[in-house]
Amino acid sequence: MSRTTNFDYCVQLSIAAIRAIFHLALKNEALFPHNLGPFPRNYSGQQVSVAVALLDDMDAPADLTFGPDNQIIFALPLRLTIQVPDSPDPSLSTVSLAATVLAPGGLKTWPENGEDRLGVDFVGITAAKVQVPVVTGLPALDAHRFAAALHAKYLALPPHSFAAAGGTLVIYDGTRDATLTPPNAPGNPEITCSIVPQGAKNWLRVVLPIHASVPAAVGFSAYGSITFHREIVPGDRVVSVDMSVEPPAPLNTVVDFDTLHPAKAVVIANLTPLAIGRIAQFGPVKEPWFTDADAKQALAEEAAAYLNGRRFPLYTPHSGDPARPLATPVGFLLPADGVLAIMLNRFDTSVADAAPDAFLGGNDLALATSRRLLDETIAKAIKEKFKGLDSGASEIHTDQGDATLKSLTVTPSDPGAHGEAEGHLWTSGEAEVHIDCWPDPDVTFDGPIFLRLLVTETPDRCDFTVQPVMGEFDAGQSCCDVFVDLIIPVVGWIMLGVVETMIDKVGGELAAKFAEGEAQQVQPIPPVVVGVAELQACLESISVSSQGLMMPGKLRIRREGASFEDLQASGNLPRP
Amino acid sequence: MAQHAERNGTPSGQGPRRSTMPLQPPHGLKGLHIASHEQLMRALPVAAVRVAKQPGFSVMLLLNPVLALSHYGVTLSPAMRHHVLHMLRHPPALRARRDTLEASLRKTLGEPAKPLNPAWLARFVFVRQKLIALATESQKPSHRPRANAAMVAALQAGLPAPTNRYPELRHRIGVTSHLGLAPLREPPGRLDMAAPAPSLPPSAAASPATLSIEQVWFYKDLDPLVAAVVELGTIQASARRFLTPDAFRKTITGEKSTAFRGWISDLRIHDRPAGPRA
Repeated sequence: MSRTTNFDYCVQLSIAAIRAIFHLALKNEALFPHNLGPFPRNYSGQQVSVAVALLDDMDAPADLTFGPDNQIIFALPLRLTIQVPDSPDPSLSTVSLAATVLAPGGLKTWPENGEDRLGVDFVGITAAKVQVPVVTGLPALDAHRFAAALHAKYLALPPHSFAAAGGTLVIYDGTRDATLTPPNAPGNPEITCSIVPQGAKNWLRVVLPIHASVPAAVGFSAYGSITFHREIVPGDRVVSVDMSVEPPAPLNTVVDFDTLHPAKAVVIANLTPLAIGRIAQFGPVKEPWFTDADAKQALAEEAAAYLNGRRFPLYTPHSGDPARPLATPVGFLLPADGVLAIMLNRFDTSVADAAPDAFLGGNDLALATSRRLLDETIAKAIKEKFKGLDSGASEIHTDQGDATLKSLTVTPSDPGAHGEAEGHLWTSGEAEVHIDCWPDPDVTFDGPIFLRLLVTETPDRCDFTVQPVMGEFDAGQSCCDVFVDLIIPVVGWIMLGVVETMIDKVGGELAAKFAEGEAQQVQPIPPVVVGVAELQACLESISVSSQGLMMPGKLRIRREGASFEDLQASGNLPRP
Repeated sequence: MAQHAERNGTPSGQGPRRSTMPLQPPHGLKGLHIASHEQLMRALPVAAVRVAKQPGFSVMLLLNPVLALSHYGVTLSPAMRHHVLHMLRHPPALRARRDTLEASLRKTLGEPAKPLNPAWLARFVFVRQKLIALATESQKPSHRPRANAAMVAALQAGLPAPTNRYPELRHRIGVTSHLGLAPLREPPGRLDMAAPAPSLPPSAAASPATLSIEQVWFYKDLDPLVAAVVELGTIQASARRFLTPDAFRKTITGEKSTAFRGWISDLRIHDRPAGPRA
């Protein structure tokens, strides 16, 4: 294992940084609309409408974790609002289910506008892949909801006075029909409902206030009630009560009157079949209904429907020059460390791409370059900039004399190597020093050069300079200026070149040379995640090891694109 | 290079630094006494062979060639010791200029000029020459370009060219970063005597009790004598320095650490001196 495996560069971002980008992506209305629907859905033959709302606020925060197989598990707070359009009282036939669903998004690379983007892709997600741990808002069997539905049905089904068998039956529901004769009994009783469990079934017990007038039955005229039971049948996401199905005794329909009239029994006997027929006219009463399993399935289905095809970028390098395309970034998640590793410039195609070691530590981001590339860069720089070095004739001219550098090697070394506690560039070589009127000595040298990153940070600047420091040299040893002049510029400029090349290749920016000196304006990583966030990276240090160079830093992230609040403020929210 | 390192006992893993490891002086060598330049020239090939045969001690030739040669059995008379050390301190032209300046300043001042002594410099500038203290704080003197400028330019040319990938964002990006190479410490030996010193206002503070050679550089255009002292200071500062006998001994035993001992694993001298270089 290594920091860069079969690639030359690796950028590692913390899960905290990814979360920040994700929250900004969630705020982007174009990527993640917060309100979708209502959509028509058919639940057990019942047409309903479903509206989906995506939440991410203090009360219901979205989140993500890194999972296996390069998948990011997103915790998305969703709210489904289900309505039955033809329900007798829509305000009472609405169910609002809420859950934080866990949906996997794949870490993938895709081309867009000629550039490669690394991000999260939900394409192909199905309900089976979405987990719904806990649902809130499950409906409960509520007699009041059925009563309200029956009140609405009562109003929808006039007349409420029926002539039959020489008599008149009047059905009341409080004062909802003030035209009835005779008017309702004292107290204006309403239709009442209650739920009666019996065995595994629930029964809706309904009491209808009535009045019956049968002149032929010895002038029978009395107030009373019809008490009936109907089974409450829970179905697939709908609960229904079929008013036309009369159950057997003891739950059969019972008519009674508040009188001791001698014809009471006869009237009841004749009226009961009529009453059952009138009850059937109320038709089926249906309410949205979800068991826990139903609700989870519905939420999983809607979450999958919402997410399928959506994706958002995390890392969007931009070449800006068609002649210099950037390498396709390849992402790896390191769940145990909470790290997203982005690999660039595959140098070995003979092996399968492999995840690197985590080297991020407690930082927001870190950049690493491979040992292979570092060695190659150093060797190339020495060969090209010190022509003749390999044949032993590279002249160096310094203030205090001249020297011929005959060989030079720079080897990245681990802490602990060469007796040095710090990682270093073990620099060795051979030089001939020219001293007037004295035999020229040939000097064989080797020693550690440490790299430091000097950082100056202000609210709007983050400048860093690479400083090579020769081990064991200190400011008081001016006798060594020749040696410092000889070696430090070589190693320093080569390392600066390595760092600049790393920034260039990972998709950051090397802008124009900076006027204040030899510094160059840079963006260490791509400064934008298209449409989502703007990133400001500030490198904080540099470390050397046998694996190459590594530069940790921190990130400032801010939003790019329009949020729900932005669109709301400008009156540009999408219309249903 | 690894071969040299191993041969000379360079720690390649955990262990003490080379600069603190005791050196084994050469042994079993017949003594040669040198009392003249000609004898020295004849002895050098012999010394070169001795150094090649026992290279472990050779780095000490850079720290004090006279004392190191004595360990290789080549002892110099007092006059030759002075001659060798004086000759090696500077290239000939610089050596001549130093001699001229030291002599003329001694004559004018009535004492040897001590341009690398901060207290002496302050007395010289403010008491003897009666100059007013200048506000040199935060000012940087000019230095001559490094002699390795060509090497630096070649390396700099190899840096990646700007790519300007995000021009459309430049005006929006709130934080900019700049990357560069930290400048090397400018040694006083490279102070630029030809560059004009800036005109500075008097300092609000009292005259300081000490002045560095870099601070005195700002006074050089006010007084020719000061300019001469600064020039002498730049020459003296660029001189090769050699360890005193005590420091030399402590360096051999590892009590004293020097960068040369830390970095140079061995040194081989040619058997004939090179002539003056252009």
